[in-house]
Amino acid sequence: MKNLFPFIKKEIKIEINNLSISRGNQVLFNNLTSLITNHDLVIVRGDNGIGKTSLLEAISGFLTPSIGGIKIYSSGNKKYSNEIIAYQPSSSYCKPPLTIKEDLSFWANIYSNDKLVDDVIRSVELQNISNLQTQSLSTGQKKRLEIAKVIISQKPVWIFDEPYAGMDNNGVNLIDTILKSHVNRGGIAILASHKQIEKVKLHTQIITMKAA
Amino acid sequence: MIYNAVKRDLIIASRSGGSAFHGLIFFGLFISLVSISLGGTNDVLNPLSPAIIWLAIIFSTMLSYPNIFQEDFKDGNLLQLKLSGMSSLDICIAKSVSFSIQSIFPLLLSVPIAAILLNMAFIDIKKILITLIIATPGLTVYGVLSSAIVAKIRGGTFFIVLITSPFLIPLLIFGLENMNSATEIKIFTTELRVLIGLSLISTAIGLPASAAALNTNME
Repeated sequence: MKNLFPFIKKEIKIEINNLSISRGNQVLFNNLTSLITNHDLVIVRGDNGIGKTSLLEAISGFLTPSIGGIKIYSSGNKKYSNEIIAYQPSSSYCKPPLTIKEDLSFWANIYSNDKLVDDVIRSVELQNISNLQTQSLSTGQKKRLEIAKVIISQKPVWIFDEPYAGMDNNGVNLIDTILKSHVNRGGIAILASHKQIEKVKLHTQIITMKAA
Repeated sequence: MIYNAVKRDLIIASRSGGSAFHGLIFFGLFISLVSISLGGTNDVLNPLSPAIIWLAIIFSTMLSYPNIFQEDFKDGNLLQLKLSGMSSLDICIAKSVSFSIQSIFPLLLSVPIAAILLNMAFIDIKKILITLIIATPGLTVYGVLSSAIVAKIRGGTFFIVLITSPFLIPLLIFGLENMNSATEIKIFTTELRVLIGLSLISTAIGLPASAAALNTNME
């Protein structure tokens, strides 16, 4: 079995500077400042509609902030978000007619990690149903597939929108283990979640968002 | 990367319960309805048959245009492709290739059958196939472009028809004009060369334009 979590040597830094995001005329939040570095597990909390997803999308580069900015550095060099970030939205983006293995293999090929497919499927415990079409999967199983895609990207920064939604106890433990391995190897994980999350060492950072 | 994206699109199309054949069914229906409404006699139909086939092809490809990006945009696949570092131009090239294989190629295959039913001469069948094959890049790329532009708009299908019509009219004019001027000996007429030019221009301008449209839609 190959090592799915090789150590990340590059020094990653995400600087969120005075960030404000608005949707239409409505300002979602103001003046958010934060510094995220290697080994950090960041948990974004806040009421519904406060802009948690917008914040994650802004970090991933899908959304342009109205004021302030987000800078991403890898070993001191400025990077674009698509070079180091893997983003898992709250809804699944698997293609219903494809099997788990086909869907994952496509993304593995995009990230040039074809050899990891079987190991990653095993790591999210989907090996027994890997030839099943994704349209017949349950919510939790789809979530596992999305997590597999994040692992297979082998990117240092993982962003999850509600990873625990729809997961059974077993799945929750699985996510915790995977997150722990990722953070321990020097990766960064940013999650939006309402769940109380077991703190990983001392690096857990909680961003609580308040309405503007 | 592009090869894999095309392969994935084709697998999805082949397993989606025949939605790939909607264009083909429409093509057959259109031709039979036109034939019925024109009375069905050979004297009337024969001079009109190239025009009927061309219109049928254009309308059936238009029917499939919205499918190019809508689904991938809605389920978040396009966003993920962008985040994975695949360039928008690569995405558009892959989509063009898979669209021409899954939507236009079956139509081209059925043209000879339709032509025989309309009692066209063998030489005319040959001519119409050549013009259609040459027009395929144009038909594909304008579809990709319009689909990329309206990907974000709900109910954008109507706009796709509006956007593509002016681009497809020159293809239609020169494609049909070629039917009159081409002969057994002289295949490469001026009209055919213009058609080749139109197809090449569509690719050269249409693909970067669709990539730009995709980028704007994903911001």
